[in-house]
Amino acid sequence: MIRAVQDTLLSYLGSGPDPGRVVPYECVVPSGELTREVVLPLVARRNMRDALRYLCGASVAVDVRADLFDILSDLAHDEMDTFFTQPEVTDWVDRVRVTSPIIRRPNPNDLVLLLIAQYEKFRGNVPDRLVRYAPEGEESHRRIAGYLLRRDSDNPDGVRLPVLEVEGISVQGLPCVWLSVNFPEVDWISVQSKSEIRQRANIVAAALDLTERSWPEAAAELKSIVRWIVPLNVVESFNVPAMRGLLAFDALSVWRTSADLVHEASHNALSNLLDLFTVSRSPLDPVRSPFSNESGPLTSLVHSCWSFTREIELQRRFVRLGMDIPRYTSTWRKTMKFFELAEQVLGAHNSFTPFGAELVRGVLDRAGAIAREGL
Amino acid sequence: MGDDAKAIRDERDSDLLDDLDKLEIVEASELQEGVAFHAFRFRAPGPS
Repeated sequence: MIRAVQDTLLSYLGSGPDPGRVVPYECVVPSGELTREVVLPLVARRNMRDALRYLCGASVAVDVRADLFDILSDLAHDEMDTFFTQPEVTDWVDRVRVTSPIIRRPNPNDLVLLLIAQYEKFRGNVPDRLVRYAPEGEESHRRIAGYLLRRDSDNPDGVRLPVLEVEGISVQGLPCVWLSVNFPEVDWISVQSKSEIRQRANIVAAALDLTERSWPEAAAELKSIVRWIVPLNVVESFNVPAMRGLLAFDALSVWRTSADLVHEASHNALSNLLDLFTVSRSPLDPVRSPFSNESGPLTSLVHSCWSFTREIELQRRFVRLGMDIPRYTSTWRKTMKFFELAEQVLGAHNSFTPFGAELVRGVLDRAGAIAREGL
Repeated sequence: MGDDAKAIRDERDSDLLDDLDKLEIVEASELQEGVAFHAFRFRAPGPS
């Protein structure tokens, strides 16, 4: 690799935004601007640094690495921010960090394919010299360009499923190359018919519109984070912390999809902060969570308080818009009780850093304000 | 790849690793969420 390419990459890594713009007490209030301008660019730099470290390892073919670095160095800084916060890339990089016999080590060629796909999305074409990554010629090359980041693939019957995008967010389940390889357990739970995916995508679009009208700041933040929604055939909602930006939920009702979007994207938002800032010196200490009535890591309880504070705020805004939310009153009372219990648990824990203590105080104060303001 | 080319490559990789280590990347001092989740926390389909 020539020095100029290295310098370009190092220049990006060394030019991150000021982390001092993240004020922990205020973080629980959603902000699209802070997410776009500070948090995601910082997360992207950490991801890229770890990817480069791995790629310098002896097991990576030198030509593959040279091509990767060369394409990367051709991207603008905001394009690097986007690439290194894609769900598949976050997942790839996280496999670099984690050493576990049950987690597959990342394949450098996969990162090349992801980068080619991203490049094609940015520029509308792929440099000729990258055609060699397509083993079967031009047809495969086109397919690789549409691989992964378009979340596109053929099902076994040869029917190409629609790649639906709602405000830049892919709504796509199986068949999907990345999900099939990396998350085989998703098979039985994901919506797979073309008409179902269209129907769920329409509900996601309506839910984004509702979120925008109810809480514009929350909509702006989640649109910055979420890149991919997998519609499920069970009434559930999930986020995958290692695959930041991918959410999975049923998308069967508009108001609940809005709530699922805000709740799960909020988990992603907090995970981003936990990548960047030390919140606790014993983050994995087990504590009893009133939300799940189970024991779990300290940071999991912080996650619950964080996301439920935002979700209950959203639901309150729905009601104030005149919407009828089933079981709203009982849910509100139950959640407020959970916050009271959680405050006792978190208050008794002394491992929080000053940043963590401020962040937790901000969350609990917001929850307390919601309780005082009432339904 | 010849030995000379490999030596040059190894030296450049080593330089890059050194440069990467010198950077001040913003990150938590330890993993705050433990081993990150690499799977949906789906329940297996049960009989009921």
